[in-house]
Amino acid sequence: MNAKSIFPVLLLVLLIAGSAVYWVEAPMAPSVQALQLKAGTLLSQPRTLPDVILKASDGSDKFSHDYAGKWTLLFAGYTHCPDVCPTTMSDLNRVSQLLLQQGIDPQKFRILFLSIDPERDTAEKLRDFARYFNPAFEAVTAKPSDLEVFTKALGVVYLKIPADKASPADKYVMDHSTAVLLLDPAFRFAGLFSAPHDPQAIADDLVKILAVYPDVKG
Amino acid sequence: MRSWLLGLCCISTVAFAELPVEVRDAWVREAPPSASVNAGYLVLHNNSDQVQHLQHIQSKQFRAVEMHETIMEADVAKMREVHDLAIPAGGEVEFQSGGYHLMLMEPLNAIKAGAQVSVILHFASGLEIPIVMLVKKADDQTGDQSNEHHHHH
Repeated sequence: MNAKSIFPVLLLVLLIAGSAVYWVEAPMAPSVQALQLKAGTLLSQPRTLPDVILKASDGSDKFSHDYAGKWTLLFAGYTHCPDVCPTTMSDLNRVSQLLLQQGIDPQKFRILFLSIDPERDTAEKLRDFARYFNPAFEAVTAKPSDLEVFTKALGVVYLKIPADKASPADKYVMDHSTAVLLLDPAFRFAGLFSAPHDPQAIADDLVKILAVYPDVKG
Repeated sequence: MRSWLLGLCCISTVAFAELPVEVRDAWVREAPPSASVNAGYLVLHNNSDQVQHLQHIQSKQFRAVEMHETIMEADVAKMREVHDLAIPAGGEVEFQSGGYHLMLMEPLNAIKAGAQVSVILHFASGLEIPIVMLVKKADDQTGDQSNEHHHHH
């Protein structure tokens, strides 16, 4: 095969590779952008997330891309949080119930709790916490350096606030973001729902999003 | 006997005109098994003609009870201890998710939905009000104020 005959083949290969890259990096379909959402905001361009090691509540280590394949609603909090986190997790349980009532396949979405308190949130605590709200809920955390990289890409912030000096060292609260984040089935950051959360509005938005964007493969 | 009567008044939401501060809708959120803290909510109405300062809360069922406020700043929730909560004369303060809440820390025995928590509210004036708070699941829809935050939209 001489250089002349190889050229069209090369061109074709480049074209295919180029369109594959375009597909991966493509903005969401215009029809998704045109949706009139009640509660959610979609990013104009879904953002690829850094692949870090997430510590799952079954004790195993997972790559973040292991969570691709489904739409993910991610909420970042901590299990010692008495007010905002249980409220949000209850809201997400309601969202989950509403999605199932509207006939959404449970295989198409997951609720994922991300602990921003790896110091206290052991795998066992995470499992107990997530399952309390819904047996299907999943929970992860990460070692501090991975957590920092991963949350930064999601725009999630958190800060440890020590209790007064007289209290033991493990008595502290965490400031943290309250938005529920939407990750697409390629595990890209696709959008968010800001607090206060309205489960009905979130569920309605998700039904719309899944309808026009049903079969993205991870 | 006195505390029993006062407790009854609070859960039946009957206002006793002679009480300077009236308490209603007092409930404690059942916590996940992993948690060592329960949040409590209530509404305080000041019937008197002077400011009432809630400063200290006690419960024999918990190691400690604090007042906290969740402050939302640019989508970030910040929880801070409150040492003195002023209830204006004739006014009302509502504890609710995303705002003021009681932090009931380290229950001596597991606190499950349906249980009752006895708490004493101590005011700066020397006023002490014993109340009974019902433990409920947050998504319990049985006609209460626990889902108030859903109605803000």
